[in-house]
Amino acid sequence: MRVCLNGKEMDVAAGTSLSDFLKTMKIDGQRVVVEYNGRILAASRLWEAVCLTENDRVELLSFVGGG
Amino acid sequence: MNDPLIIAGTQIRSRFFLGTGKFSSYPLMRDSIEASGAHVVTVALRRIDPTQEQENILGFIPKGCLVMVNTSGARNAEEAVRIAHLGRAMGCGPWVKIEVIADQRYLLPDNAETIKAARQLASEGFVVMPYMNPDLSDAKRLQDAGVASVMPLGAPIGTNKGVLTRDMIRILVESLNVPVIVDAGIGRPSHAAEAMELGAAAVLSNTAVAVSPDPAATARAFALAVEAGRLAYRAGISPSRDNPEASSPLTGFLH
Repeated sequence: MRVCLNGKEMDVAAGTSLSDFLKTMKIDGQRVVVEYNGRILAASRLWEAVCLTENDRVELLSFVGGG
Repeated sequence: MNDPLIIAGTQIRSRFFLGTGKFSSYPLMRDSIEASGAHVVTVALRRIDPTQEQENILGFIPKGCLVMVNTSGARNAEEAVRIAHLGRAMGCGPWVKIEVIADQRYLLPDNAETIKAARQLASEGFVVMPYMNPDLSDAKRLQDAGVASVMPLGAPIGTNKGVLTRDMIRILVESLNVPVIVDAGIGRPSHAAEAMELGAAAVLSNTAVAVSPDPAATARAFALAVEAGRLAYRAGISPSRDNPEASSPLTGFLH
């Protein structure tokens, strides 16, 4: 099924949890904030509870240099 | 001289704030923060690139620094609020520099949208530090909204042109109760000193430090200039005059 990660469409197996999705991409949960369909999911335990569905929008953000 | 800068109940150790953008490396950024003694530093929030391994900038910001997320990228109040919420969820505390720029040519802040975002974020308990185009009415609206300071620009971002807005900065300093922190356009330590001589509570610089050939030395120069400008302001600046007046007394024997 298709989900949108940081504005780009990608294919993900049906039933994948958000936490598995992040693990597959080797994302360090400590340094990202997750926005899932417009909602901030601050805690990693919340990521396990979320099962991705078709057309979900996931934003992964972290701090970078800025003025 | 006891002259603490206190913002939202926190004593800020340095009146020089440093932005962390544009450095060629995180270690250089860290060295600059340390060399300057900056206490408040700003960071931005961006999408990660999942295909690339990236260092964590927070690992290069000295312990004890107060990290303030800026809402750069926001083109309206709603986006600024969204970034502020995301930044807070990352655990960097309640300080947020509101930066709302719809104008991509001159990068001038949108005061109206900034005020809207400030009202909402202040009501949610954020320590709001709004970047603004210096305008007294807008600054008063921000003050009424409960911001912790106002951050008027000295000149457009990245231009290094100095305190072009000096008369407006002076008006804000004379009229507001909240600290006035000059941000943007500060290209030289002498600009920073000038801003402090006008009565600014602090100065933020980023570009001038980050792109200098020796960022750590430049950062230290800025910090010294900020200190000098503040001391001068507190001591009292002599007014300029049109008619010269000799510094030495009359000789009494030559003429």
